[in-house]
Amino acid sequence: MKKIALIAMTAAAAIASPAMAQTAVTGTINLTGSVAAKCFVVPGSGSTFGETVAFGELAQADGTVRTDLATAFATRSATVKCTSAAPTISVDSTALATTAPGGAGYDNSIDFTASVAVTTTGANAGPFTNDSANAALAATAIGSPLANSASNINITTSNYRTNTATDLLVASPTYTGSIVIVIAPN
Amino acid sequence: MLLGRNSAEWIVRGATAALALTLAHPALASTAPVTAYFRDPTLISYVYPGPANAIMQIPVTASIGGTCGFATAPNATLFHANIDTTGWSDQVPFTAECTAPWRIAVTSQNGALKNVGTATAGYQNKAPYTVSLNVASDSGTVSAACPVAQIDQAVGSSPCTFKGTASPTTGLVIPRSFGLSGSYIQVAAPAYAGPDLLISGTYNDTLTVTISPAS
Repeated sequence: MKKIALIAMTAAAAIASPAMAQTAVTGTINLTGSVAAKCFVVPGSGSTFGETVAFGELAQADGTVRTDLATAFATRSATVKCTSAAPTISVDSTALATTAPGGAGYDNSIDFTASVAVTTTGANAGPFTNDSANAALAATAIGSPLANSASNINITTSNYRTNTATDLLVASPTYTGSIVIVIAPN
Repeated sequence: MLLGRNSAEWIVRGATAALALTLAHPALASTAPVTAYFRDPTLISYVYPGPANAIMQIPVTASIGGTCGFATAPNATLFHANIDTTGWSDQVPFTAECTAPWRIAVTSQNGALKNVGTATAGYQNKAPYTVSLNVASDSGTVSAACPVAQIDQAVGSSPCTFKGTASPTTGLVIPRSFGLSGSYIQVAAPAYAGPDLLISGTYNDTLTVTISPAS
């Protein structure tokens, strides 16, 4: 009889317990994406920017090179954006020159210095310079991310000159030069 | 005879006490001990001080708790390149086995696809995306969508209905759904709109999806 009583107690306890609810179960989704290191021109997300600067007559009335070419060039601006934190810049200037031959007392090219100021999120913004008489400025770390703002690349020129200050510019319908700036994401 | 009477008395007392302690059931009219006396046929004229038997009424109730689990859990590893310029979308299917109304909840580790690099002014190291739930149930498909920032594990309160870890009171309520196909969690984003730039590199996030029986 005692055993019967104990069994009855066990059965009562079992009946009184509700079925156990299952605790939260889990699924896991890992997401990964990437953004490539790149630089692009705004607007258009293209890879090149540029414009043509037409100086017109390069010589003064006395035949020597004009002294106001830097002013005429003024400041040329572009907007370049990069996703990388440490972009680089190279600058290569080519003298304004013509194929017409020069000679003693004459010159068929005008050298100049190009300066590129870069607006960044940090302090090191150049200017990065290259004189057309020298080798190009090789890729150089800008030092900080480019500022994500318009007109963050500003180009000026200076020191337009002939080999000798008294040289006369050779008559020619076309003198051409260039400034090539390469900004890379690194 | 005395021994038999005492034994019977002990049995009834013991059983009653055991029920009182174990069940503690309020439906019992009284838990006061009842003493029953064995009727000795040789003591015909004896007046017993109590009844010949004790009647116990034992109400028995039971419930079946809802169970809830994944037949197929939403486990996946997803990757998309160039998230700054290219939109992306993924669906991760799952199958729930829940025998009663249940809840589903999601948390995001970063509240975005996040790059470990530092973002300076004009740049971002977090790319937003949208998390959508589409869950099949006996009552049809239940859908909800939230920006992932709203289910960031670091966010305290959120307007998102499925933010958090599922519990009987937390998460999006779903009617019974046992083995139904067609449920999925979708993650998607258009090409990053800016105006900031996403810094280059790898971006990561982890979504944790939990389900629980609802209360």
